[in-house]
Amino acid sequence: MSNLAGKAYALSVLSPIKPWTTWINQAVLLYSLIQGRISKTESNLKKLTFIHYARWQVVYRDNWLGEPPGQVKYNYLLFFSNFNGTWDQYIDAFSDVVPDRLNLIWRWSVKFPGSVPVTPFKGYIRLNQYDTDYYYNAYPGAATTDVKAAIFLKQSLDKFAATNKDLDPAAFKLAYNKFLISIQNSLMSTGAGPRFTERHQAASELKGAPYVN
Amino acid sequence: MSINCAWLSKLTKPINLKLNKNGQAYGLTVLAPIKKGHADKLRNTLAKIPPVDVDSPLANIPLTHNARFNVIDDLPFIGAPALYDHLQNQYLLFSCVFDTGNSNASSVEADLDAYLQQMFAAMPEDITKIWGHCVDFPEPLTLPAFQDFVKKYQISGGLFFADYPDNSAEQVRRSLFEQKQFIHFAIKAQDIKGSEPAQLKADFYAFYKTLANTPTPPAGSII
Repeated sequence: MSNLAGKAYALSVLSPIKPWTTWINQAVLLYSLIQGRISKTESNLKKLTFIHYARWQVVYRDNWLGEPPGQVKYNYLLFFSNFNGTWDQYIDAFSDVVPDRLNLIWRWSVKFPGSVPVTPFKGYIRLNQYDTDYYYNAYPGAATTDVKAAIFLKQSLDKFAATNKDLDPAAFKLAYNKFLISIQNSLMSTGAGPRFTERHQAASELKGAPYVN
Repeated sequence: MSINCAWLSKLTKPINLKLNKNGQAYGLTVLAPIKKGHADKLRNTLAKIPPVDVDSPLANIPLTHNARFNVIDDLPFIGAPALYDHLQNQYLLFSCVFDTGNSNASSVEADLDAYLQQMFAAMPEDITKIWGHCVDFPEPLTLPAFQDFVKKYQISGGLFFADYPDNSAEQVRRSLFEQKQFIHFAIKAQDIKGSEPAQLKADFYAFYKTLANTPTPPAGSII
């Protein structure tokens, strides 16, 4: 299968953590979680705007059920990400935009070289990455930015339609033009990406479906 | 020096956050051992699932945002002086993000139960085809047994990032659909002769009414 589903890439990484530093790693995750939730800004990750969902979890030695005691020597930091763009763009952006946060989370992993400079960081991710055997995406034609813009547009459209119903036509036209200006950055071009095959398009594109107006 | 002391393991496992949610989104991670000699069969099974998202059995669970399966053959070795970790079993790693907003569940565990119930109803044969290669998979398959199986191998906690945690997959698809439709309308509206205000208003509300009555494209479709 593939690490790709539509415009999203599934990254899965397992990096070893020494058991006696795992509690620090958990504390860092907890700190990041609380900081994000309280501030409502989530985290610096939002600056990247191309990650749909991402997750860091600790897999303890005894989470590998079925292994004999003592078989697994390290705990592991499991990292999942669902992002848009290429693998290189993603790692580059991570390294550029949130290097301190990445270092805080990953520095407890064995032999982690740091997120800057980027070349050894990429090497470390490559070494610990697992390819995806099956990947499903519920909205494969949209990138993260598309999704956020569409959500904003729908909310704006509903509000516009509800509040301007009683205007006379001239005032409505003025309001409509103002509305268009306010949502112009949300008029994204979604749909099939360049690497979609004809088979994908034939099976799943909204092709041939008439526009409603 | 051995680092596999039982007391050390307990000491370094002080926090199990049990926080699998961000907003209404739930992050599920399941790490289940594969039966001996079944890893290749499992990979072949996964390769036969329709790759086109709209045809995927997971598209029959509208709560799902995304899902992935990884077959873990062994642990990574990053070179000396790191220790060499080796697994005696191979593992199936499943991860997905799903909605809990409409589940009416009273707890996080109930959210998971509700999702697994939908999965069980939507793709029972695929569940067996995939997880049937794993140790402890219940046969015959029943919903409670499937829920217990998933929970037994679930990895909880950690840091879960979501860029739009309060929007369901259905809302996302609806928004994308309406966005696409509105762009088409806006372009067409520019052609209204002289942008006649009365015509513009009539066309807009006709469009808006029709849009409201048009169903959302199915999960997995390219909008």
